[in-house]
Amino acid sequence: MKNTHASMAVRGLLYKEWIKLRYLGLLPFALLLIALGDSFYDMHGLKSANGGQALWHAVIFRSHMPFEPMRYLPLSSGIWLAAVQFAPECLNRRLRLFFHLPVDEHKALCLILGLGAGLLSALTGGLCLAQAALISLFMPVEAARLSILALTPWCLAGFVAYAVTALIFIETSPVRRLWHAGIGAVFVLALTDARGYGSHVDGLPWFGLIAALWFAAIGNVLERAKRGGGS
Amino acid sequence: MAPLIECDQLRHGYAGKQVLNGLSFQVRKGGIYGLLGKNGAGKTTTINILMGFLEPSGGRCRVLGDPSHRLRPETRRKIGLLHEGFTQHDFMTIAELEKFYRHFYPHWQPQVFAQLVQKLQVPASRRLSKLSFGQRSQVCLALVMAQRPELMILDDYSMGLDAGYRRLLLDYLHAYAREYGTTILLTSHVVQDLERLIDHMFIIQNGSLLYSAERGRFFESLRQWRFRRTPQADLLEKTDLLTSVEHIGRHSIVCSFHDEAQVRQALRQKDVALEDWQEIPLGFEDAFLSLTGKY
Repeated sequence: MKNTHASMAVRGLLYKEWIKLRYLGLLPFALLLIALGDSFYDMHGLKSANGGQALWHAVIFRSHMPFEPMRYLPLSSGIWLAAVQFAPECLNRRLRLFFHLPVDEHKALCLILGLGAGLLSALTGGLCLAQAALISLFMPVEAARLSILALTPWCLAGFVAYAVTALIFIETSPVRRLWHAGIGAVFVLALTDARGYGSHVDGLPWFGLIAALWFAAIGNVLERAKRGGGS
Repeated sequence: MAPLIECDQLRHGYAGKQVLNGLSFQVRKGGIYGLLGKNGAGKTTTINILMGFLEPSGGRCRVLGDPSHRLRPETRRKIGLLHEGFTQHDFMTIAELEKFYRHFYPHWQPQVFAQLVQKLQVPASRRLSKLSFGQRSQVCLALVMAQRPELMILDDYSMGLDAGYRRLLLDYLHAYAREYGTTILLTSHVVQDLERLIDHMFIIQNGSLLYSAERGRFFESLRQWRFRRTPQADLLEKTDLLTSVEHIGRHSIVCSFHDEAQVRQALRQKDVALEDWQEIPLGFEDAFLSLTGKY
């Protein structure tokens, strides 16, 4: 009986997330397609105008990255997806509706975060793989691998931005909101500032750990919001 | 049988200001209970504690056997909550709301929801944000009723509603409580509406229980008299015997839970001349104001 309730509740929560994300959640993927198209025409144009040598020059001397417009795509997608999921859940004291649902609120939060992080993973995974595939059309596979190393910190910035935005929506204290935003901005700026192929590679595990900690903090903030009035 | 709600010496405050000062009351199974009080009496804080949105700083509050700030999901399933201001997911349509909530409640009654919503004569594909406040109130009430809860808590259900929608809501509630035996605890700032609805009232003032009684007993026991105002009458103050003392124009008005002879005797002992003495019938709102005061 308990399992039936739990599976029905999961279906209910997934249904609500689907309603929130069915249209607005597609926007980052549409932007991804546009960015990939831009990247393709950039490389194609460079090769057509100046020959393959120009592409090699860009990689060796790290002078130009054809996927430069993608720098802020994971970041803005992370903020966007978190806002789409958490703004209708948290604004105007609606967090109370969430707290009163007959489900464990921490498990429900994990499901919502898991769904958002899953979408972001699909987006960033798609971005890295598609970009690597595009580069491999013009250059050897080693260059494609380098491009993934360049994209990884930007993708990680997307996850940090997602967690920080969710945290800001759930947080009830304006001062703490500013604090989360300030600290989050430091990490996000550090990750998106990565210039050239392979920068931040050594620090990536640490940044990954920090992103995980941001996600872990959301549960604590939710608990505090509940005890403090669920506004 | 254990009470559905049990508050014992409840205390809570914000930023050093004590809002609840040892509030105690019990809600037993069956009937409609009104939690009444003037603005700032502690109603909202009490409801927030009952709903589990606040942990009281002192005392004990149990809802369906669970501590109110640690309600288990299976307990929450038995409680229907109507949030103040009819807070609900605006981004969903009426049909989507119904589909969403029915996943969580095994005793969901789609026909109860449909009956209430059909009367709105708006398509189920209409978003909640596009409905008027009155229509929205009906959808929110329908969502709570369709859950078939054991206990229903309605936080200021009358807020923002005109007289017509308030009456509609009360009629539905009354019929529902009688049909399903649901226990209802509600608060409202429109006291006169509750006269015909509630079976039992808790009147709170300054964060503690001022008065608790069955509706009928309240009217039987509290009475009001008017007499000509004199300088001696102006010196009268509230006592255990005189629940309220008021002077309006050329008359003084007193209320008491004691009988007429006792009141007259007490007034005479204070040298008050009881000229033009007459009893004035009390309406629900008059009685409420007599107890809590107008200021």
